[in-house]
Amino acid sequence: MTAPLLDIRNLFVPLPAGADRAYAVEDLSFSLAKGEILCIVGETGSGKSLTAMATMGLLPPNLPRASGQVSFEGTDLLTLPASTRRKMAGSRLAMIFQEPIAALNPIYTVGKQVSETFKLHTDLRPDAIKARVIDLFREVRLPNPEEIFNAYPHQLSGGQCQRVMIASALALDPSLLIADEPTTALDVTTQAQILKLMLDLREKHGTGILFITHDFGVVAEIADRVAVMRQGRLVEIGPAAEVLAHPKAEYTQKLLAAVPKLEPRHARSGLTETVLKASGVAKLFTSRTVLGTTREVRAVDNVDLTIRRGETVGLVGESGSGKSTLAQCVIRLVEPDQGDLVISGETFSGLQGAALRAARQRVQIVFQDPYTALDPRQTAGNAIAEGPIIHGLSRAKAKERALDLLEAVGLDRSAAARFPHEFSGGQRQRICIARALAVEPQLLIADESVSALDVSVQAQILDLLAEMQERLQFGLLFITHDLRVASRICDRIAVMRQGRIVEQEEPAELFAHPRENYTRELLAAVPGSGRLISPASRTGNAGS
Amino acid sequence: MKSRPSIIVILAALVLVAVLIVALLGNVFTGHAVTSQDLLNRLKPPAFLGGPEKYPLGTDRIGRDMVARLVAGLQMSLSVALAGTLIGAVFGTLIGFIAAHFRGWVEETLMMIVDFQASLPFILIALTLLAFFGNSMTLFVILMGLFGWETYARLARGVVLSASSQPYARAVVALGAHPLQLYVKHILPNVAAALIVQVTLTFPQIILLETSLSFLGLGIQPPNTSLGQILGDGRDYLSTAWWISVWPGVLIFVITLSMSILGDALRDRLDPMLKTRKS
Repeated sequence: MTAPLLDIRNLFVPLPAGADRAYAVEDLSFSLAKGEILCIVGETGSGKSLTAMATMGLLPPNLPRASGQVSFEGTDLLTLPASTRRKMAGSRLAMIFQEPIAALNPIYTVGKQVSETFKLHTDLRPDAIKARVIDLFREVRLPNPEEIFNAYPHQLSGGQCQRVMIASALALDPSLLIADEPTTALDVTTQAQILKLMLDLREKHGTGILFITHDFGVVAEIADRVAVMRQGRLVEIGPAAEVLAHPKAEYTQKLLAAVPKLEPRHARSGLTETVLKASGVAKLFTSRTVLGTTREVRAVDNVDLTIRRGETVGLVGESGSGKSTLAQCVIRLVEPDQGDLVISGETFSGLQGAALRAARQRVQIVFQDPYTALDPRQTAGNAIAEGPIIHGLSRAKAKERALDLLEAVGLDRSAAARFPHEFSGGQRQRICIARALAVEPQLLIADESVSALDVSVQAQILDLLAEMQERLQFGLLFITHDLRVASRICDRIAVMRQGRIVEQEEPAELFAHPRENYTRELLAAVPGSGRLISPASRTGNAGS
Repeated sequence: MKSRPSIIVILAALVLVAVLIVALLGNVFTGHAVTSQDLLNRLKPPAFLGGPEKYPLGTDRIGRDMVARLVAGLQMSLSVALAGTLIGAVFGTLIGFIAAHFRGWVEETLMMIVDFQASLPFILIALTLLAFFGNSMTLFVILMGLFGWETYARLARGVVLSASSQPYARAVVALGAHPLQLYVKHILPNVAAALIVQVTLTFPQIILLETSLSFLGLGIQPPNTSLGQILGDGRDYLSTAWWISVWPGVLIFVITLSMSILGDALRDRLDPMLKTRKS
């Protein structure tokens, strides 16, 4: 290979004064060859997205100018005038984003939006453009390309929208494609398809792909080389196989160790006492369109579920499978249409008013997004003490319990006086867990509670949950879309699809002998399943 | 990021503070009682235009000191507007919370009433009520309170609905908290900013409404006085004794303008809708 396609030398992206550090991206250098896939991996705030933005010339206008060199096919993009650069963007280099649905304009058909690129950059006639767009749609394997050409974004699924975005990015056969977390918002099976599509496109067009992700599983699937970033700096760069198997930098080792592995465990024995018995739970959502026709969605369809004391039951499934709705029904934040709920021997369904409020002590929930789950105007200590006070504990005793819990979840007692915005995401999630446990529930629901967190934090929170469960012996209903996480911590995994539990088994058995086709599909789609559970990487991690 | 308030905002705040001081301590500054008439010095121009020294801002048609009149008018106008704003804010917010809590037909009925009031010019409602029930101070203040309650109701309902769907509110429900506790302890503090901004926006409107009604002779009745009433008093003397109308006019203008400027600045600072969400 001759000159690299993209060569970044000493790139600095300064942050405005008053930010937590001086540079978002600091002294970054790497290159990308034609037909190569380079993954940039990093946690929140590592500067990986801003690197992509700087390359595309899409840095937010409130940032000071980037300095250094970003040469693309020999020309320095940073010194180009904006108009020349605009011409290159879209034709020679293209970008796809994390939220495909947000990146498409809802009032135009997707065909029209992809055609736009041709209209701007070529002088093709309208019918020729349409033919090209339909070809592209076929190439990204959209079903019925002719029909999809006239579809609006809301009529397509997330995966289909991302395919449209990829089609649009590939329209003019760019030599560089920048993909910023393109599969993060998608289900695992869809993610697997999109990753495969990108590999095929690289094969066929020799496109260089700069792929930004936080997921080492994805890296293992598609990367030729990996660059690990931390706080704006490049920590390590090298061939994917080598970095994954023998990471040199300590930070990379730590990150890799934190990546959830597919390590199916066996159920714990000696679990007897039932804490949750849900039978025949059903929830139907109806929505009426403007024309008066009703649409019905069976979010939860006649589900039975039992959880025992000290047991962790995983609820896995893709988005829209009804797993969150089921959880909301169990805790009665959503009223189930049907079904009986018995929590630690007493009925929970059918209760009203004061009786319901009193019974809520038995079941608690920890939400996904720790940033919105705490009242921004309440101190951590008050938030944790609130539950016990509601259930009749004296203020002084509740305060004492809050302080003990803060310590138990790994925070300092002095944290009680601080407000949520003074904590990091992981710390907030610890506070949420403490708040839920403060009323001593028999059942705890964790609704994607670690999904919004960085991997290293994710591992800590999972450990915390396991430790607290060991100590307090609550039943845990763990909802996740990530089979890797579920495989590690659950005694039993229930696979949900279209409102029903299609299969329920202990992890070791489920992963070894899945009975349902759907389960098999889910398992096959787990990113990095082929490599990350190999014995080599496991021993490599054990040492760190 | 918080930036320093602009010079205009600071100026507006200073003006309002000055107005407040005058309203609170005004009686100390005036050398004459509001009602004392000096029939020999009727319609005298302000002292700096050659009027008598003892009447710095001139006198009205029965020789009352303009300074004393203005202070009394200011006190009346401000307290009526304040009372009206408070009544409207509390009542409207309460309605908004009730609508957001009960949803269903309660919400629909309440919001229908809100829409009903919003689609009628308030001055018409005010004129009708005053014509039917005659004028009394109580009715007048209640009337001021009725003005703008619908904006609070609508606003409160919206912000409460969005705040209650936040995970923190759901978590509080899951803890077993009584709805009242949820609304008073968690939702209200989080939506207060939007409501406070609304207060600063309705307050000047109520002052203007009070002035208009008093100008028409339907508002504050003599011997009480308000800025609008003084303004109306001077109507017949605009060509000969302009100061009777101009002083209260200037005061009203300055107060409402400052209040609006301050309200805008507050909104930029407090309104959660305008704040970029921390992600």
